[in-house]
Amino acid sequence: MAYTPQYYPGASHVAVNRRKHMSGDVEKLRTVSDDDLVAALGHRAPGADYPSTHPPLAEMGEPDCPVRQMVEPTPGAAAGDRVRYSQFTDSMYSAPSIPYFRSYYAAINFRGVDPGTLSGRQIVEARERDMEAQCKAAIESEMTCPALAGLRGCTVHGHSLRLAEDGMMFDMLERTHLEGGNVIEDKDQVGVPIDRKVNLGKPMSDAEAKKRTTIYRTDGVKYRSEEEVLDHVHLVHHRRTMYGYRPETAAETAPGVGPVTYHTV
Amino acid sequence: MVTTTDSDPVQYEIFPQRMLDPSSAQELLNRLEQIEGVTRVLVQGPRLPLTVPSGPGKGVPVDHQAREVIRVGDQVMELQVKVGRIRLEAENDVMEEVRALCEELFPFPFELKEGLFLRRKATVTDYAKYGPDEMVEDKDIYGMTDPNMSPTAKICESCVDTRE
Repeated sequence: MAYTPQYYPGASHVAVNRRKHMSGDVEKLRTVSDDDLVAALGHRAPGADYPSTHPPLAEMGEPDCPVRQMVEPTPGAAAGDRVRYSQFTDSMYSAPSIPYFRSYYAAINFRGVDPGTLSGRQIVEARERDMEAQCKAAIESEMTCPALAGLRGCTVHGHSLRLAEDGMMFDMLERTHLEGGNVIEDKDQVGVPIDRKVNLGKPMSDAEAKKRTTIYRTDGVKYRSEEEVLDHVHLVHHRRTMYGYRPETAAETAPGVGPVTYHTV
Repeated sequence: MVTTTDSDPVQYEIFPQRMLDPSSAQELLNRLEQIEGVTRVLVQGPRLPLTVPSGPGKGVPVDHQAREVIRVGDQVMELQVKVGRIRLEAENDVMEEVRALCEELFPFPFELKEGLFLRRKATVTDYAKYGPDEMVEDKDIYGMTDPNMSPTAKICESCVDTRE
């Protein structure tokens, strides 16, 4: 039987969503055209060629290196694209994803990406076309609610503020707004107006956001109620604290000893 | 240390679960103004800048929809913040009137607290902005301005002289 990684413990729907984000098995909810995405990212004009920092690898003549022969370059690296970034912000009010799981999603499911995880934002740096592929997959999937998450290259502090009356996450630069029930993006990541209105679709209802969220909250699934997750976190903490870089030497948690139960204080 | 006495005015803070749109804020402020005894009202929330303050887009106009001109009583003002909390001071206990008003206007939960939210004594910052306490005619101004306001916006003459 083929091995299926579990990725994350827990039985609640929050844990299930976390597993989905990590495994990349996420539902596609909307379609954003390539040109719209390029305009929203703001790194180049829609339809323009990818600027490059070096000639395509095929033309450069690479040195005789076994690692280079083993690892196939990503499309962006093969073409010599610039390194560019996309950055997402997710509201603490039951947004579908959170920075850690966006990073897991990018690092596990995409090659040649460099995810950066911060408390309120998550950035992915990669060769331009690789970054666009990853960003497009994330923005079109259930990981992103257009009202509770957004592409924000700067001024991300709305993630920790209360929502507006219409359910939109606060944005000092108002990159997105609600228009006829749909979320429209008319500025790029850094707040510069673009010459088009990118339709990101309808925001999730409160119930749907709570169903798709990966956030444990006291008004939703409580972290303390997730026994398997707590047990696993305690196990990792114990091994890391007591055995440092040799967790496999932990006698009381070695294979065959039996289950070790940790109790929340 | 600030101590309160029975003769001091009472202060309240309204903390709605959602941040208010300009029209809702205008309605609330106008209704608060009509409650007898309310002397001061302050709105607080995240700033709405005119231009992008930092990053690659620095200086580009923001044109935020929430930065609207509102009319409260006979005064017209431009909202510079997204209204997140409202602090008010009244000469007598108006807790129940304010609670009834919020229940009528807000379709979402809110918190209403009584406490000390607007300071009564001048701070060093107030001294720099308005001058010595005995020179300030309207002491209600204390606690009503943005503490991060630029010193050049308004500063007492003696401080300007000192700097020169």
